[in-house]
Amino acid sequence: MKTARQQQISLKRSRNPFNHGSPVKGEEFFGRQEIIDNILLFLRKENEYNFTVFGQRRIGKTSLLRKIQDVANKVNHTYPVYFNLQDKARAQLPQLLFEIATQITVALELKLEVQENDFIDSHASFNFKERFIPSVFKELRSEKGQLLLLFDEFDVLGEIEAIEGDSIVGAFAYKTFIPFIVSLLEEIQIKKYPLKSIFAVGRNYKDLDRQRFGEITKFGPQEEIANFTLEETKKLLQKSSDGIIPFEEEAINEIYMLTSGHPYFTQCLAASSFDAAEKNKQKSISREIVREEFIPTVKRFASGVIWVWDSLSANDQVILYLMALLKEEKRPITVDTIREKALSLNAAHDFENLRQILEKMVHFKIIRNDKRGEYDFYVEFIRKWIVREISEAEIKNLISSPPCP
Amino acid sequence: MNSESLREKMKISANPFIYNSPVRGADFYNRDVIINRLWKETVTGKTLGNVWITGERQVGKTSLLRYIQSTYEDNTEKVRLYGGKDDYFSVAFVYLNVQDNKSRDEFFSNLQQSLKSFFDFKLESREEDAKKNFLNSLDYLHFKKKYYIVFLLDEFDAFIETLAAGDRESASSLLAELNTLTEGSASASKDGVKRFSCIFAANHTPHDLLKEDIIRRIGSGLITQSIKLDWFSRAQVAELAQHYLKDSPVQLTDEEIEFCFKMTQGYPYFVQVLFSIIYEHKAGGAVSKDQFKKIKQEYGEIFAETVKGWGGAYMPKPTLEKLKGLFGKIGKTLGDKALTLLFKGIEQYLKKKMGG
Repeated sequence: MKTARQQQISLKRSRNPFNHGSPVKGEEFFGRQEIIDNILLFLRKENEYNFTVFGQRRIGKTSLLRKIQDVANKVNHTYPVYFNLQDKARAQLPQLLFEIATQITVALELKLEVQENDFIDSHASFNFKERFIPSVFKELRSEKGQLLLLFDEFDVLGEIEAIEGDSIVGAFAYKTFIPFIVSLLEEIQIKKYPLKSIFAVGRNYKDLDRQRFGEITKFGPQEEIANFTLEETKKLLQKSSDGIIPFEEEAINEIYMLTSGHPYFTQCLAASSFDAAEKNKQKSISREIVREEFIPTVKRFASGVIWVWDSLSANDQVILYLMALLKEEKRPITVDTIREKALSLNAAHDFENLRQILEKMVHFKIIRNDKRGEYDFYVEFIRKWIVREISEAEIKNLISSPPCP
Repeated sequence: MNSESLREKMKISANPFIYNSPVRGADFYNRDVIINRLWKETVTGKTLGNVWITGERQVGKTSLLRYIQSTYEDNTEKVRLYGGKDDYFSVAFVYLNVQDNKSRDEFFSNLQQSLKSFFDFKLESREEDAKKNFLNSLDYLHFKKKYYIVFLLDEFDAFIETLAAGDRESASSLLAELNTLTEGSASASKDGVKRFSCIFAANHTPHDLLKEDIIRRIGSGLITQSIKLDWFSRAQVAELAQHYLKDSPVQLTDEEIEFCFKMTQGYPYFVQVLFSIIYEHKAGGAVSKDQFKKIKQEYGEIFAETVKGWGGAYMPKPTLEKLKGLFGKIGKTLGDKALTLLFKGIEQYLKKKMGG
């Protein structure tokens, strides 16, 4: 029997239609038709072996891979298998290959038995390429099957570099897994195995060692996952909430202004606005509700933003902090005002490359610029988070801690 | 009522205010809004996500987690999870204090053990790998018994700090592992199915841990929603007094409640301490001016001892700042010696944590 308190706090399903943390699945997935079409085209092409999707943190790469998994399942004789490498940065290559082999056999319900003994030390790579993969195709070939491997968080394998010098790092997967993948791709090309791969890579993709990742991208196309347009944001919000508590046109515009269509921040702000409207028994979600909920939302989802912040270099962080303060003071953001602000905070820094750093951040769509030479944040949500969560002491600490990468 | 008869009745009814141990059952108060949000984030909402609760020491994090577990342990209401099929699941909230865990394996082993204890089932631990055994238990409960688990992991940052002290990469890797597990993408056999969420309780935010170089980001990091367990408002302090003294012969006056709020600023632990002292001093109705002085002295001493006892090891900067603010309100009552000692202690913490 339920207690009085349990009755007050029911486990009834929430009506809030927004998802702000987990991969979006099935019918909930929205947009990205062009990139999906390009991937379907890639699946049909004979001479392309891998496809790389890249984009900022929390832009929806995992959700896209899950969608591709669903779509590819419906393409005749394509068998997709998803791997998340986020927790594999420290895995040894034999262990990783054993896990991948196991996952392939389980996901495809193959009769093939995978033995851990086959994936020991130096034999692992050979056995995976020369024994395991041919055995998979032997089983699939009766149906003329094509295997599609989806590798999520692929750049994790490059991030371990930060602690180079650690004696055990040398054995970690990134040093051996990427060269292994390259050799596998070459093998596939020569032997014409029907095996394709899709790699999802974080926004700092272009900062990564080109030599290492360039080896992979030469085998196939790459495409960026961008923010939603205003039109897409409108459709997403309407599709999700119409019939429950709809968004007014002005509220949608406000959300777009504050998030620039970044999927994660859009979902966060939409979810909070929906909760507020529901709590206050509103029939629709107005611009005022969105405005009122903006700061509470920044607080509520702070733990999600820190990982975006942490994917930036120290130089980027210092400059973004100065820019955030300038905008808070309603001052224009230019190369000169950034330098001025740095001096006023005694945060004199090596800004010789300021223009280049700003251009790089424009390129990665963290900030934007206009013809007058003024800069602004691409996503206001991130700027407000910086103002609220980052202290001057933290920035000074960044400046004083050499080296500043 | 004369003071003698009130004293007699007070002897019979024990002091209802609680500190130094988690508040349980009906004594747990003022957190319904947060509990509703926790449900929405971890079970009934579309995200089925994780939550990271922070708050100062003794703000009520453990009480909140314990309360959730005990209130819902005999819950029979079933839910349909978003993104799943049409199955209905029972929800179990499983509490585990991980403060003294030393390694990743011990952590996963304790998670599995907490499931076994909670559900009282036997499942052979066939694998050498503690994580695999944990996942097997989870699969059994999810797919065979139709349970969705929400782990209530208390003192999580203390565990992460211990792990990082030996090897920072282990701590960061564990967060990455938890992220893939709670996304439902780690188990080969049950790919894509979320089987559990986590509510982490900690003194530090993930941002604090990053700033202090205890962890680093791996990939997407650990995605959680943040909830700060706030101090009580003036109205909540008043409600708490009414709630605790509902059937008591002793009732607090508006002046006494106001005094309590002024001296504690709603810090739950110190609210309980001060109410408890006031309760003990009440004999003939309202507290007199002389008694207020004594209460201030007594409270100030407890405050000083408590803060000194907390040390600085797990104390983030905002907590220190808030304690300093609170200290400003009660410091004068402590007398020169105690005041100087306490102030020096706090300054030392500040110096240690913030570099002077």
